[in-house]
Amino acid sequence: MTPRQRDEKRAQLSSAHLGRVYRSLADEHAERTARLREQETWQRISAKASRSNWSLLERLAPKPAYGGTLFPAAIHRGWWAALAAAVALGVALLWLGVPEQNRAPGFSFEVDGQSVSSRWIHAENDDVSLRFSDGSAVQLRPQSAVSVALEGEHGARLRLSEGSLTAQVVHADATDWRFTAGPYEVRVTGTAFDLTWDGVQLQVQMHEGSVEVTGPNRGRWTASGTELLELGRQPEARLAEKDDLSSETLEQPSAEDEHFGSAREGTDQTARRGRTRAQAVKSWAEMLAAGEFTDILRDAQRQGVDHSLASRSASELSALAQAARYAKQPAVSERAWAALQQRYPSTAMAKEAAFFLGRVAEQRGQAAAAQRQYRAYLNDGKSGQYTGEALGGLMRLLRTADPSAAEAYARRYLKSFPTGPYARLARELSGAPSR
Amino acid sequence: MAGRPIPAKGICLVPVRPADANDEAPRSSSSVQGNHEALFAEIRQGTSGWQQHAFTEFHGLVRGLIVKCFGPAFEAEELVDDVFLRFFESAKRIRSADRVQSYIVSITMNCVRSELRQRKRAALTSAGADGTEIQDRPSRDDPKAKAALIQLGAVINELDPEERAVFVLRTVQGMPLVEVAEVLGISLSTAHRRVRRATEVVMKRVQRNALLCDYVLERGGKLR
Repeated sequence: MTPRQRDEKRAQLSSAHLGRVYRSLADEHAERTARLREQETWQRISAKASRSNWSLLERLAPKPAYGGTLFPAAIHRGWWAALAAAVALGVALLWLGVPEQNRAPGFSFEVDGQSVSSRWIHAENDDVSLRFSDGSAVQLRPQSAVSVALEGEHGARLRLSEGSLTAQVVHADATDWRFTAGPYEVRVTGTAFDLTWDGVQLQVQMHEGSVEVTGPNRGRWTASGTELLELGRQPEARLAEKDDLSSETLEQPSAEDEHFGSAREGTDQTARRGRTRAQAVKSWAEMLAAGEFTDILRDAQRQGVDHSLASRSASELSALAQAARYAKQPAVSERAWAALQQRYPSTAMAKEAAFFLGRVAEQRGQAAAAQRQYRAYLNDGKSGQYTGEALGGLMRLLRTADPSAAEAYARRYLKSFPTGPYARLARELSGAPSR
Repeated sequence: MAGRPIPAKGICLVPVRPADANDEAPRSSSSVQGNHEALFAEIRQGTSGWQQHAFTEFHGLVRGLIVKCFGPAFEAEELVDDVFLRFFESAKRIRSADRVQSYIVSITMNCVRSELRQRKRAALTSAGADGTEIQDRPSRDDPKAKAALIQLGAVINELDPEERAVFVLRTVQGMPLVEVAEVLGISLSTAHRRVRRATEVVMKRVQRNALLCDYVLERGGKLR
């Protein structure tokens, strides 16, 4: 073919043709990774749902997947139902015993007409309405998520993770509503406003009444009438913070961070009296369960990552490592796991740390380090919770680099997990007959 | 605010198969409105284990869409998790069996766009767009295909979030334009405009790369 003919042919390339080729290449890639990771992904999703204590927990539970019991508590559903009925009966009896004038009205809320037990509420394509029993209402805008915690009879704590909402809070003597978004807290006693948080900037568009906002560096602002309040750092600052989190340079708390800590505690002690102690001293494990990964990292940064690694308990180090992993900060994750191994070498969590270090290394493309950690995990004596996964990781990593070693791990895998998620790969590598 | 596309009064809808060659309808056009009667019934009734059935049914589709939007080097795990957790939380809102798949596609694309916007804000470049991150993963048998996938992924990565979503659904996934508009909550004319703009950018970039262009032509011939 002459160069001219080749050019003419290239000019004939159509977008549909290109689309088909890209689709076929991407589908092949996705299919291969999906096959390798399907069961692992399902287990992870189930675990996340469990940690978040979402309402789907109960619905997910009855079918243990892949030979494992994902939600052991749900197996005893009958017992739980009986316990719930007993508690409900007890509450009802107590209620009937209270004089009419002392009965609390009970503060509750509904989402689009249905009561929810879910902590996080997401709006996908349409608005989602939250109606509170005191007459207040929150309209969650599309592509937004908020968590709701009720405090007493007139208080609520709403955390906006991303997106926007419109709030109309009904005023009463003891009304104490707080909206948090990133490092900001908006205090409300009775007002209407729009709140938007995009991960960098906070925007408060007032419609009625007034609000007080507190934030980093002893920041304190008020907005009333129809004012628009915009707060937040520039994107470059956020990038710098993100880079710093994974680097050595921000091991010590910055001046802003030190102020941030004291500002949050010292801004207005009186107004904060109603705030629950539980929220103020929420542990990292609880924050991890609530999906507040960046908050954990921010906490660690505020105290100094080095200081946190040297002083936190084993479970807190584990929470920090997991949070960093979910927040795509592998360097911090690695350091937390390593600190856990060094400071608490005899704990079960330290053993698991080797597996997670392998996982992080594999995700970062550090094949040799990943192999070393997986081997360390497997060589630690007893079979652990992640033995199958570690064997699977070694098979993946060694199948082309060292087929004979991969075959040995494949045989070991089939011996312990003949129907496990990597069984197909193991049979392929070991030449064992497929089932 | 996202919503269903509403044709304005007196304005003709843009045809689904536009005449211009740049928006040629893909031959293997695949609708997302497949029927999932059994799954829909399970969701409505809250049958135990419906989430796992949904996961099994759509895991490949969700992962495929994410790979198409970000390229092969992207670590898709977190995004896959987000999509399914959101789907499980809100699936009860689906009104009919033929909407189940489009609903999860819609959630996937929302998550994709959200991730892209966050990356844009943080000025993060797509890690491994040059292929450095996938060197240690199981390699493909065909190195040419691997290189082509990485390079095409890098080209797609240059599109902005909105154009990328439309391009992937329409040109790559082969979805009818009406459904693309519906899934993304944009008007038909906006979808059409974005497809055309994205296609122009992608084609220009691909045609500049002679080797990639030849590979696409060669492989495309085999796909026919």
